[in-house]
Amino acid sequence: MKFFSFYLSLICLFFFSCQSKTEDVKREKVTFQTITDSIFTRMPGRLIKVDDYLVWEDPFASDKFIHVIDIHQNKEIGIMGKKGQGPEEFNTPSISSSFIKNNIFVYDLNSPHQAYFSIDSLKENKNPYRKYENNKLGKIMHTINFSENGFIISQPAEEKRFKLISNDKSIEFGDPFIDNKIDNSFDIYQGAMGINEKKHKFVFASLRLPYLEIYDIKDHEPSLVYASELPKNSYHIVGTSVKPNTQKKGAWDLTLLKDYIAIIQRDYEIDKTDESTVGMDSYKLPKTVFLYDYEGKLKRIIDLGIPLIRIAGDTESNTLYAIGVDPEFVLIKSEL
Amino acid sequence: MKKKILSGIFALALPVTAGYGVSKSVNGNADLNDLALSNVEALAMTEEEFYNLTGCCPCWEYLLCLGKDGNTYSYAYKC
Repeated sequence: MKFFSFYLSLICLFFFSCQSKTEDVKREKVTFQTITDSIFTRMPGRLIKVDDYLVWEDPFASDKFIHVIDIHQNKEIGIMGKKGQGPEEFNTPSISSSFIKNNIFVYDLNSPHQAYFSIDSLKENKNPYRKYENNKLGKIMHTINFSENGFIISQPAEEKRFKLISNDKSIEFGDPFIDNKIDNSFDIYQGAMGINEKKHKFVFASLRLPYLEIYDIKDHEPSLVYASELPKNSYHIVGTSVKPNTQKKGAWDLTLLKDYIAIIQRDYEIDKTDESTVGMDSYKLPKTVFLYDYEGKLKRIIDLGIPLIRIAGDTESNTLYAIGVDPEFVLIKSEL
Repeated sequence: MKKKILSGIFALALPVTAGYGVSKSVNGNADLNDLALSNVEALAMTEEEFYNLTGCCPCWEYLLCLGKDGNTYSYAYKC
């Protein structure tokens, strides 16, 4: 009888813990407003919210690649950042997913060329380009700013996956989240990053595996405060390489809001799309945004009703901006 | 301005250096060679051509791929 009661209580505990997990998550259909349908590109790159502006990158543009949209007037105020090989031009540009006082950090993937581009200068018809030189940086591949000279750099092929660089220090952090030593860590440990300065949080979501981690970065001393459990079926090991499960994946893009970590993620309970069939078909992209709190707990699943490519927001509000497909690229906004 | 959206065959505009790379490497393909030489800034390639040149596949997410041609590509992964 004692054993029976013990097992019964164990079963109940398991049942209720599972039940509360799903009960806590609210699934909601949310409407959106279209800001502009003038997103003329083969594929939009990064989208970031910079105070009263939305900035979207056109990574495959042949001329200029940073588009600036005034969110109050719902119109583009200008384009900056030239493609090319001249002194103020970028051959393979990328933009940081954060900004410093209306300045956007741009870096070249294949050279140490880096610069800030000023939205204020663009508005005043002045040259927005300002070269940035910092011998601590070198050639970088994926970075996010927290100050003019403060960066967190992703270095997926290194033993520590991130490097925090500020005026006075340089700290490497972030242990591999797969136990095995692997030889394709550059491909596997890439992800989307966000910083919430108010909450002193740095968030990383893997783009290859369903994995989320949150660091406290108070006083620029990173410490891991949350790491999700990596599902066993999300990858397998072949020799010394990790092969992600191609049918299911985690994040597509990430942004940080006032109360939520927002991630474009497919709700597999509703949407049974096999990710291996998506390819470059934009109509098969996920329509849902998962909202986690800053402790890593999933709180809400938002269905916006259109395929989503990029999301952006800021830590002042829970307004979400996104680039979706309706049926062409559109910039939308939704209050969460 | 005509809106463009990706569907079916993927068209990818590659950086200038990669454009020259392609013009050197596709000796048998006159059309692609002409395109690369006349408009190196916006070279359109199919997924297959892109893979043959770089060993990378295009994707929607901000992933980076270290191409076998020595360049790093954004919105691409090693496949």
